[in-house]
Amino acid sequence: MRAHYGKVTAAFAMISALALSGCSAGGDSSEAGAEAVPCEASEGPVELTFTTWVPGMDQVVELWNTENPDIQVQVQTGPNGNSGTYQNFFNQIQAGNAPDLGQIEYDALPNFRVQDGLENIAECEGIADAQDQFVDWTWGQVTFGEEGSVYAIPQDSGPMAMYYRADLFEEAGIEVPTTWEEYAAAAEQIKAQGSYITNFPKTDVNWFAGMVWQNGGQWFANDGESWDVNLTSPESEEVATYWQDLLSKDLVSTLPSFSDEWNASFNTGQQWTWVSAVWGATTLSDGAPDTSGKWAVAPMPQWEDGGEAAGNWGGSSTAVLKGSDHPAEAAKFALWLNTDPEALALANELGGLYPRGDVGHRTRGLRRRRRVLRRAEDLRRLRRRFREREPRLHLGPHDDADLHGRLGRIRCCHRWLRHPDGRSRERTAEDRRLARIAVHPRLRVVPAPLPDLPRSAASRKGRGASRVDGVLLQCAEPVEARLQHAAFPPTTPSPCTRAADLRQDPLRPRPLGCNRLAG
Amino acid sequence: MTAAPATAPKRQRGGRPTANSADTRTRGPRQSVMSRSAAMLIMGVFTLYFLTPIWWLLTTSTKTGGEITSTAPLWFTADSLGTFFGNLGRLFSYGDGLFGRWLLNSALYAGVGALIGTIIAAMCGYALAKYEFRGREAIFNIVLSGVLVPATALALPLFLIFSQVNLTNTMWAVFLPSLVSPFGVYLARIYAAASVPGELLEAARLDGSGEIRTFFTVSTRLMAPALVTIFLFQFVAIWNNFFLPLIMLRDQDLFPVTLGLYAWNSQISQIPELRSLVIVGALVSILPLIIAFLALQRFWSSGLGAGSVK
Repeated sequence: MRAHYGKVTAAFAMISALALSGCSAGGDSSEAGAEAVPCEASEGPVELTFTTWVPGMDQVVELWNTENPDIQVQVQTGPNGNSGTYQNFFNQIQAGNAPDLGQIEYDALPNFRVQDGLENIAECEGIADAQDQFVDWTWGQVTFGEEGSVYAIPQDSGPMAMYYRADLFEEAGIEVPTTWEEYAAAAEQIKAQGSYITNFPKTDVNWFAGMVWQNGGQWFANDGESWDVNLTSPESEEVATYWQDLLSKDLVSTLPSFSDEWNASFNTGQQWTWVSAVWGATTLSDGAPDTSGKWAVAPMPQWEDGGEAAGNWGGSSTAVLKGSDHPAEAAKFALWLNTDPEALALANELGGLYPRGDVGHRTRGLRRRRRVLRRAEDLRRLRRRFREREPRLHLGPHDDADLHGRLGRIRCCHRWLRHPDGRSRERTAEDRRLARIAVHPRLRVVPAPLPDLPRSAASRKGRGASRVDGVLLQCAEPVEARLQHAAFPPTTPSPCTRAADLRQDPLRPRPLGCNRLAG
Repeated sequence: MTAAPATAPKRQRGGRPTANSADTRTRGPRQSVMSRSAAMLIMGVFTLYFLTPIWWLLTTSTKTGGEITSTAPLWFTADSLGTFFGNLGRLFSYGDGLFGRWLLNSALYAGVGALIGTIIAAMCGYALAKYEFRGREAIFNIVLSGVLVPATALALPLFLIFSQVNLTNTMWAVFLPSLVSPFGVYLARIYAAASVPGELLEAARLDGSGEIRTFFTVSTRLMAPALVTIFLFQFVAIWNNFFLPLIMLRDQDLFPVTLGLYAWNSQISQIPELRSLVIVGALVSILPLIIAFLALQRFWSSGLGAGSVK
């Protein structure tokens, strides 16, 4: 409650302060956005501060400090990002005394970008060349597809897989599902046994994003000038419909995630599977100790038979925060932290980080998680697959409350997709909701042209018939709007002009911002 | 908290004729068995309601991380005592004894802060009650309006101010704001007006005592119950304060215990073994409050009754 109040007041203070600074700074800031600031090394010994909440990070930094007497890093710890540290970063950036480096999760990074809270370190030594050391999609998360921009160094990721109770599946003679279709069928069989196949996490937006991710959905895209927001693409809707169906038939439970109740349901065999990130094994081994050794891990069920797609849940980066006096040294440290094999191994062991760089994928670790798993080689195989997986979903700037609220709506709307028409062209209410995203003075909402959709009398009748239906119907509307961001200066012609090429070769990695045209 | 003073004197003061005074002594006037048992039932339910979480905290702190989910939530396990001390040991050894450090910090912030805060509030309230000067009411009204402003709303402005003078991420950032207590001033003024007779102060002046000496030797004694109450309020408020340290502090070594436990709690998804430490830590962190209440209770409950009977 208190934290919430703080968030609100902080947000107000921030918005008003940004509005003020926006007036005074004017054009200068927009120019600075495009080209990376020259990154020169400071003279003499440097002291950096690094705020993180990853356990054991102080020991990793200790390693750096002994090797680099001239660049000493001091670690500061606090609650994890969304529990207050991000808000503190914003306050500190505002007050001009932010730490040099900060731990920022991928879903929060764009918020820092649009509020001008990050230093562009692209010009710093070795940064541009470092791209090869990271998986493409992680690099995409820290550059936002802007030319000549790098705002953070990728750190860890949370590739997803399916943990399942091998013993229970064997006993019941149920095949371990490999596709979502089989998964739904297994859910019914398991329900007949008095258990649930899994729990639908009502509050984990990023879990849902991982599901959409696997299906190739795209929520946010940036073409260098503006952001496309699209929460109801066919891919997203397919995922939502699928889970809605399971929910309506009561084939999945809806316990609050990570609660004791939830842990107990795993421990007592009430849940047979958990589609979760690589860090999920630790959660299971601690929350469900009685089931130790009974779990196995398999790839996520696929939408297409024989598919190899996986999603991602979680992960963070090391960002150089605005106002750092020593961006060059900070960038150097961030790069070391996320590419040095020794540092990665240590971070993996102590903090349980699943590294995001290619380098990281080769390190040892994951030992702690194996004890819960029956077949450790599964995890090794999966790791290889995660590395090769094609990047899909990119996270974008959002008003947290709004995005969460909207997804909350999607989740709450039990009947939403079963509306006879499912779509409507009316989008005034949606526009109004989008306008709320644009409370930020630098963001502007421009409605995007909507696809021409059939508008049956039934849908209007549905709207009129019940107020509840009216709300439900809004959920199914295509949420498309372009959030134009004034701070992004015009760049080279949009890569989206090549949309035709993309259509011909769907496997080719899409440049950011082209989803709407290409899809 | 629960020690209700005997109510018999009050009833007699109520002016009720003494015709059934014998009855009064035994079980109060016109109290039917029904209403009495109803009252007891309601009280019982509420007692249960308030004590259950504490009971849960107590039982759960005697379990290992895994046992929390796999055993009965409100009862002990076979090896409770051993696990409890094991948890306690891990609590104080985890992260190089970080928890002990947090406890000390909290004790410092809350103990010293409440002590100084009480003295300041007492002096302020006493001055407002006992001295006539221009703007007295205006000052009092401003202080009183301070009661209405939630401390949370002030945290961010305070952060920006402290940033200007480079005091963020220091002990001062948490310590200084907790010294002021508008409610304490209000309480001190009311109490001083009621319990410190002007004649006594005049007598002290005639005897040659200076104002400051009078305040510390005569007035504070008379105001003692109020001071204890203010101290207790301040102590609890600072001990439980969470938002201000969250905003001000970055260095773990400066955290008070509330913020430290919160930080641990937010890391549970990464290090689940912290779960049991957070629970034991929560239990340990409320002990000082309970001790403070029990130790100071007789002072302030007697203070509450003072003045009710002449």
